[in-house]
Amino acid sequence: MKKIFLPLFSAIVLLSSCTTDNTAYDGPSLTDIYGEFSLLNTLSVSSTAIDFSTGQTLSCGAEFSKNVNWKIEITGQTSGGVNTIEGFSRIIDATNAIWDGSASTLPMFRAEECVVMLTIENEVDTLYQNVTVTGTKPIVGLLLSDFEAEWNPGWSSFIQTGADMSFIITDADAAGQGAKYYDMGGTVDWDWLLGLIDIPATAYGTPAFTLNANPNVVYFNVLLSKIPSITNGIVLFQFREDDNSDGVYTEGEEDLFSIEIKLTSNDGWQLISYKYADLPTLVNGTAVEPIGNGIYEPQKLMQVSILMLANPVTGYSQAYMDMLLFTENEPFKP
Amino acid sequence: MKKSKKIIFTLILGCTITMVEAQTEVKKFSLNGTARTLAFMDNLSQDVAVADTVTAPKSLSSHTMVDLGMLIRPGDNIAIQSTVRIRNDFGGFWGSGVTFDVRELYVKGVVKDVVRYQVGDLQYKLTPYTFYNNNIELNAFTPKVFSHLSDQIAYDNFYLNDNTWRQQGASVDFGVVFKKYIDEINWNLYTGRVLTTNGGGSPDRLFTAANITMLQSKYLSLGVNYTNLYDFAGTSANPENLKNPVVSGTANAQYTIADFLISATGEIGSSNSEILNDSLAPVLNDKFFDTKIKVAYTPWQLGIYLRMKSVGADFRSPGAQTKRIDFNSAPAAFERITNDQVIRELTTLDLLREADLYNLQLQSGLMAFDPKYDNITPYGDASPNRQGYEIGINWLGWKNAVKLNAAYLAQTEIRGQGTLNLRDFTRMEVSGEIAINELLKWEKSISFQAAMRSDKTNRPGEGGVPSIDLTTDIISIGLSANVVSDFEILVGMQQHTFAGLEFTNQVNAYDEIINFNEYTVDGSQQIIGGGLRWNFSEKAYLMGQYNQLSWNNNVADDVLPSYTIGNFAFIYSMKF
Repeated sequence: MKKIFLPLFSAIVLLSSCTTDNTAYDGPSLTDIYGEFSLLNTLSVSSTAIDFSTGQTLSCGAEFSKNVNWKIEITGQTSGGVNTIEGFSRIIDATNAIWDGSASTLPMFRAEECVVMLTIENEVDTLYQNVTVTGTKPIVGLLLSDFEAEWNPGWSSFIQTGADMSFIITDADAAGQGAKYYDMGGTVDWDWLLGLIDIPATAYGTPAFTLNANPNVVYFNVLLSKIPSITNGIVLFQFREDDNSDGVYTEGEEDLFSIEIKLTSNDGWQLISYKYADLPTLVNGTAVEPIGNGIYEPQKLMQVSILMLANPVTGYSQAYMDMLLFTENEPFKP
Repeated sequence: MKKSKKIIFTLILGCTITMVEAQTEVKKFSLNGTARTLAFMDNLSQDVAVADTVTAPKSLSSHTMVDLGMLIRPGDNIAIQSTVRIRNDFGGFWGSGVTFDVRELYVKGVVKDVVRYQVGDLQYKLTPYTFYNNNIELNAFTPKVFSHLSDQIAYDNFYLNDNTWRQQGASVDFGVVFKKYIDEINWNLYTGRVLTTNGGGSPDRLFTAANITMLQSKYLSLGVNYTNLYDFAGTSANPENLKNPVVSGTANAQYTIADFLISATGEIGSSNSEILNDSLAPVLNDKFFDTKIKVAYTPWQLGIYLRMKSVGADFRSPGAQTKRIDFNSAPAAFERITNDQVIRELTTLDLLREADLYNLQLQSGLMAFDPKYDNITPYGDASPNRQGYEIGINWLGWKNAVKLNAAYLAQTEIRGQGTLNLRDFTRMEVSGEIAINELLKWEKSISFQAAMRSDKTNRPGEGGVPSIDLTTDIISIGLSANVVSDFEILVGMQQHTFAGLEFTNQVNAYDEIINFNEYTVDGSQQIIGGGLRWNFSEKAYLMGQYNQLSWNNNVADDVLPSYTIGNFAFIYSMKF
């Protein structure tokens, strides 16, 4: 009997070591797939008036009976700007639904009335809340212009004498940011150039723009709007560096980096952001070797030029521009 | 005259001695191999409201094949075996349809009469949790008449009865015998290549297996096993490398008390599976144990056993969990049916005769399986996320003419899938074989086999989640009778019914469950057949058989209809 006791005892000990995991399971919850949906707590917001300029944020809340795909859309009633937050969870709270005043779809929000709308996938319920934005999100970076003020007297421009030329600051349509934007348009049937703006650093009281010397952390940002039915617009941004720091840009000897944006599709406002270190040197739209020392030196950037171009045989062209801004470490988040 | 008789006697004696010497001398060169002819004629009949005008209802396939092997013995302790396969599909004269392949190539020998080695193709296994080629689903329920077909599949895919895996690599085995305390210790080591690098992102993948077994006495033996499926770092530009080591210890003990033979076996171990330098890949660590106590009453040849086991949900052992059947494949015969050309599911008839439905290589991760064939042990003993017990009885009696086995298994999951509720599994299994001729004292053999298995999987539902209630039942019977000389009649039937709801897992590249698919079945498949076999010798036979598969699908609105396939098979098989 002793002989069988040991293996029997061992087996019983092993059997007693059988355990089950009652705290976790593999894969997604079947309840989320098959369970019935019900709204346990309706949509709420942390505040009905919010001032993003002071760093405040808005959080949304709701609770459901199971995990669902949900979407919160916040729409500016004046600007038309939209911010979308999406998630898959049972509870919506400050950990997964927070708004810092940014817009995921341009235009940017203004100080305005906003509607917060919550929709749930495969469910008919749509929930609403109203929020008043009393202050917009602060813009951090070197702002060349948001066109809310008058024309900077330090800037210069050249506008062809074509037909229907309109190089003006206006609020005729919705701006990308704020109320005003720069309208560039016209018909020039003998040249690609419709008009240009030169923005020298001297307009801001310095020989070169006060930018970080590391080109990998400097970003150039601009809001551009393509006008519906106009597909021939080209906006060329040029960045002139004073390589030898003599206070003068010498054509053909010093670096001239460029960004060429062809507005052929996607109507409306869009954010253009470029890392300074990624700026190419362009000749007639084609990347070539740098003209000057080939070193990206943001601290030596002495002039930004904006050229509105269009193929002369394509007729009238037009584009809107807003928010010329250099940011540091990351692209601008509108 | 007397002198001439002496001379003749001396010559005869000399010749006899020479012949005996020639017979005992090992041949330096010999030929061996297998030859077969297989021919199938199928007839499909579908139960559809609108006649299928797209699918051809009849199908023919046939081939002749010879595996010609050469065994060369350049020395006393070395042997070289190479086998070339020549296969000709009927109708493939003048080169088309003819294939030549190297089927087998190895060198083996013994160094100093101590160390055995084999290089090239080899068969290898360790334990059911480390390195083991599990039998296919329903294997134990295949009547002998159908096993003539499945034997061809097993031969083609190197599936031997000893559950070894065919590998390519090198093995070394040696042992040491002791005078006291320990009888002997044996060492076995194998390493082979499972996958070759593609020169880009896929590295060489190797499999290593090692075992040390200590035979303390006839009462006790202990063993340690190690396997690892791993990528050989540096053989590709990809820094991500799989490693999946498994370690186990085994113990076997037996003791006789009066007429009772008591034996206890056990294995316990753990696994670790991860992909190095891949931050997204999960690290899976888990363990298992398996113990079995058996008591046999030798005068009655009656044995009773109790088995308890637990295999963790994250236990991964590619050498033991790799499946033979590739359930993601489709049958070659009538692959698509109905006017909508829907893909036909695998059936027992397909699994009996199509070699391409099978897998030859060790796989990382868990391969797909079909719950209606086996939802409880889809990966053999090493099926993860299972724990429970099994009790069984076996008996051999009536002058060894009757053999009976019965077992009951009850298991549960260890960790839920999609819910904290756990699946419960139960299995009841009974099988028997009667040598009728022994009972009736006839010279010619008449054997009757019968087996049944009933599997149930249950899990309660909650909060709108439907409950799982999958039931599968298998019944098989077979009769083989050697009626005249070398002439045999064989008949058999296998009935497989399945009904209920289960969820199958949808997994990502890391084998993580990302979704569940509803698996609803309600139907049956029955294969019934009979044949005549003429045995030319122990190594050659000719057989003609007719089988009919009836597939019944009762799931409403399912695109796959009920159908039958009548199959005439002609088999000529020879080994030499």
